[in-house]
Amino acid sequence: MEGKITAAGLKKYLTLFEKSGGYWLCLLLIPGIETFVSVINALFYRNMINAVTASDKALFFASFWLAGIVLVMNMVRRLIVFLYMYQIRQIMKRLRLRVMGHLFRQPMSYFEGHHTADSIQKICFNVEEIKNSLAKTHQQIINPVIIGGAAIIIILALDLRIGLMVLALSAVSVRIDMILTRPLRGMAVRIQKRLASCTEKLTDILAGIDIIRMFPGARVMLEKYFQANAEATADTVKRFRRMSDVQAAEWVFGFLCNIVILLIGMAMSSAGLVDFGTVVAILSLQDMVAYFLSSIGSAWGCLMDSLVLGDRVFEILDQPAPPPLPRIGEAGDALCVAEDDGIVMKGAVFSYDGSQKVLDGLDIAVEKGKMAALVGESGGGKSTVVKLLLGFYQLDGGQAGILGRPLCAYTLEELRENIAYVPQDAYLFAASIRENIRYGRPGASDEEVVEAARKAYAHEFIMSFPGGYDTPVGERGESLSGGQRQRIAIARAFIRNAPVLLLDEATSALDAESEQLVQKGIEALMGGRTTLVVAHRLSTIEKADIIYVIEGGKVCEKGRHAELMEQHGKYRKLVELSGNNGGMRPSLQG
Amino acid sequence: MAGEGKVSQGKEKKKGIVSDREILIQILGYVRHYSGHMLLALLASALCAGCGVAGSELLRRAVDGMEGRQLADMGRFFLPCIGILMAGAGSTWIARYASGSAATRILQEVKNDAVAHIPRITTAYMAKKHSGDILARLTEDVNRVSGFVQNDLILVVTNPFLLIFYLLYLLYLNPALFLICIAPSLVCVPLGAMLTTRFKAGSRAYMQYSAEIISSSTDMIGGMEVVKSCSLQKLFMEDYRKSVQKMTDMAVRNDRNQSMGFAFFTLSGTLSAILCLVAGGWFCLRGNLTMGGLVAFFSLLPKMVNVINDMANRVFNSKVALAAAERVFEVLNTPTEPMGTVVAGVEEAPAIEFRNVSFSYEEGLPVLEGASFTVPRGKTVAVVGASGGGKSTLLRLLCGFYRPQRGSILVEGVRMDDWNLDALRSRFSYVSQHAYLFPASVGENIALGRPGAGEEEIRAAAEAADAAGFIEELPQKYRTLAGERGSRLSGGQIQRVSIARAIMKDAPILLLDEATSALDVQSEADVQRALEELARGRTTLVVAHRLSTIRDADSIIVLEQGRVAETGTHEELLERGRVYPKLYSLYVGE
Repeated sequence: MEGKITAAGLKKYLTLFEKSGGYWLCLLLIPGIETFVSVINALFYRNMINAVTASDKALFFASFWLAGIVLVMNMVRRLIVFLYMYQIRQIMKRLRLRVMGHLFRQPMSYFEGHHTADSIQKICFNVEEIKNSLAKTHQQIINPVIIGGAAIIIILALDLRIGLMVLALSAVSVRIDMILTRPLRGMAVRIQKRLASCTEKLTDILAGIDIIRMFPGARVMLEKYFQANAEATADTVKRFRRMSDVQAAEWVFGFLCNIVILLIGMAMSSAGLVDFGTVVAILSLQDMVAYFLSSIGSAWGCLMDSLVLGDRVFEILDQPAPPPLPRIGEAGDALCVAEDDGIVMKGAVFSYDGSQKVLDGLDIAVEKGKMAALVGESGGGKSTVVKLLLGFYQLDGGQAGILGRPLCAYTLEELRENIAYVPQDAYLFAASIRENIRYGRPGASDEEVVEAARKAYAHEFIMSFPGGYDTPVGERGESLSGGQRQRIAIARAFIRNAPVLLLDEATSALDAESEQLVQKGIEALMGGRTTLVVAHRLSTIEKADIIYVIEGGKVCEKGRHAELMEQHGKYRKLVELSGNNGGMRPSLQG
Repeated sequence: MAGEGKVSQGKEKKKGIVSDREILIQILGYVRHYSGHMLLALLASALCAGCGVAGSELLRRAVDGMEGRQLADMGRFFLPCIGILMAGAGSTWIARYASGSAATRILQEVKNDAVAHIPRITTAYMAKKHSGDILARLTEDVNRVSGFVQNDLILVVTNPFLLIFYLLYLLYLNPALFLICIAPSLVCVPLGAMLTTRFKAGSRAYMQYSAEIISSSTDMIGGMEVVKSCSLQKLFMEDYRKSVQKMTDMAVRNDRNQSMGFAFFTLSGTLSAILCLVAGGWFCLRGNLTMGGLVAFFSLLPKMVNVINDMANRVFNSKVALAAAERVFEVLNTPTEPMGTVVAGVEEAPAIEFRNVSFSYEEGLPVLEGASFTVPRGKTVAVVGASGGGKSTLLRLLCGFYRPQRGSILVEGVRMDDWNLDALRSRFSYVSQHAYLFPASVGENIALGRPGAGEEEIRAAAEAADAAGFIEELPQKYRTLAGERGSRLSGGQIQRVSIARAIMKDAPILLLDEATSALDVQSEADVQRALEELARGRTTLVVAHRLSTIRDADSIIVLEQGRVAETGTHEELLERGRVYPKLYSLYVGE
């Protein structure tokens, strides 16, 4: 459908603007009033000139009311333009909310598969540009149609034969324009993509700015931006060339139309078929038709751009929203989730891409209130288990459940309400510390926030900041140290106060002291909760009620630390490895 | 317009915002490179307007001279007609293309300059800005300037001349009538123009809100895992709705100001036209004015009114563009990192020397307070200390990201301020806690360390960093894309690629913020081996978290409350240290 405006494409495009009757009304009213004002204006001029020439004072004063109408209508037009803008703002607001709302409903896989900059480009920049379509493009199409249309009707009324000729010429002109503008839509798509690529490169530069400062070779990233920018520029310039072609053609055609009609009119009038006054009148109206003709081509081009922008936004809106109730492991729901099961997975099979199995018949079972550790090499599927339990993805086979109920018996929201999740590198939002903790349970009181921070051993460092809990943490929490960020994430989990805790352990980037505090925080957090830890620390693992050694998407060994050590298997090898390389394994070192 | 400019200047100076004139001068600085294009566009638009006039004049003559003549006589109009046709088409094409391509290229330059400037901006400034804000400035705001440069700039220059021309001519035709007609403009235009100041401030606010939305959207998408696991969608959607509402309200306020301004301009235009006919007609009736004089006057008046209205339009457009340009140039005008001229160190001097260095990110929250220490060439020095004690800050100061408030830092015997930053940074390989990989291929990411490195060198570096093994197993080997924030590789793999990058750089001093975070046992061992390889034969300053690193260091610096509490080897410090034994006991988990 590229390069062509189809009825279906147009219809879809119009669905972007729901509940916008007021907008379309204003859009039609504006040129209507303009035409009306021109007519009254002309009457006023004629009356005044006639009054002066005939020295008719009565007519002179009697014409004042026409002036009054012109004045009032001009002001009314201003008001309507304002209302029109107001409608546009409201449409934009609804559109923004709709697109963002839809984006929020996307599954995690969407966000993992799309560059952040790409989503930003769509939800912010492209949506913002749609405003231009509303404010300009639509007018560029409607105005000439109404004004030019009115002119054509009057011409038809004045003389049907010449009118039909004008109509035919207009049709030819529109057709030529459409042919000339055909390549434009493809270009608009390309330019949009190039601009999106610029945005991506720029995002990357901003994210890796320290690397660019430190590595001379990283200027390559700047070069990449320059390259993308050059490509976008080249395409835009090319597009300007096309647009110039179209406009020049329109100019020529408008002028030719004038001449053709003049010649024909003159021929007809000398043949006595029409009186000359009518020809002159038609010629003056022809200007309005020419306006129509000269706008339609560029308007067509702009409409194509608008449709492209619409398409970009639809790339989000057309993403199917995930079903409200993901049925995880439908096959045997009732089968294996027992009352006292805290976390359970039976024969879990899962792959991200549909071919490479990340989980291949994984079985785990954690009793309520107990703590289980997942260990094993990276890429073995440990983090995937956590993501599945959170409902970020759905199992391809097997079953899973928490708190004695299969996952599919929960709505996503209920499920997540029962889980506190501490990821490896917890994301902090560019807000205050207080807000970041409170995100664990919106609606928690300030006291509860402080309480959670205390439990996570974060209160002290928070109070050392001049701003206390209101200190902003910076973008991605960058103004805090690694240990501080983690303790805030733990406080967030505390305030959540959920019966199930999923922990993707990441404590080794910390100095000894934070390490201790974070560890103490985590231990406090685990108390009484059903906990599943993707563990990297032996001290954590040793305390686990059960350890699952995962390899190739399956559990290859399970049991308590002491039992597994006796088995002389995978587990023991892992432990010995960590002992040898002098890692932070306090319990082994000491 | 000039007077109005002064008003806004006066007000904005107080707020410390650059004036319109300064911004215009900066824009013109870029336009200058394309003065040829712009001049061509100017001439072509003049010619194009001329062709339009000539065309209608030709038609008028043809019609006037037509009555009673034969169609054959029309032949003498043929040549001029062709001439006008060609000139019109040509000038339309040139005017459009020249201004469009020049504007596009000008903006390309502005964007490139801004992006090239970004790595030079001080880290302190960048830390205060959300990356979304800079993103907004270099995308949305640049686009807002684009329309202005493309369409309005030429007219902003030419319109005042046209206006003066019309004014003088009308004054010459009939001074009394002129005064009456100009009276409404004298009242209304300043009233309308007064609104532009508010409008500009409002536009700026709108752009700021828009940038805030982009920042918060970036944040939401980046933290989607947290958003979903804590079920924050509703809360964030509500925040988003509020932001959008705030932006919409601001937009409506701007529209209202603009509409009111336009209403004043429309009022003055309409009143002028009506007054002209009424007063002129009255003069005629009284015999003070001839009919011909009135018609001549009246035929010119609408043109002048059009120019005034057009200028009003442009003033509002240009206010938006200027506010946007202000935001764009703010990026270009941000303070850059201070830069000395020295490009080589002193042979015998120690690699790194801190002399009484005091530093704080925020006033009142000192991080370093008179820290002094020396790192001799070829030695490995470990920094240990409490969390938030300024350990990572030492490394950031050395990289020149921040400057100490007091004291001095010497690198290879040369003071920090005297170093050329590029030369200084070429002395260091910096491996930070959070390894960032660009979304380019793995090979490209490694090559960043040494521009123009061949495949063999990349392979060798990967080999040394113990990364070659897993890279060879990737689907496209060295061509495999490292995702956004390196998401397609595991934590340990990202670390090792970043170490390969540092090996590639082959700088004499290694700054290492020890981070083996989130690594499983096997990866951790691999990363450790890679780091040992990297440190071989180099001066190393390491923020240490691993006991093995600390014990193997030639010297240990113990930081306490921003000061160096004690230095020595592991054994020495254990024996006679005050702080170190306590820290050590934390490490070994007693």
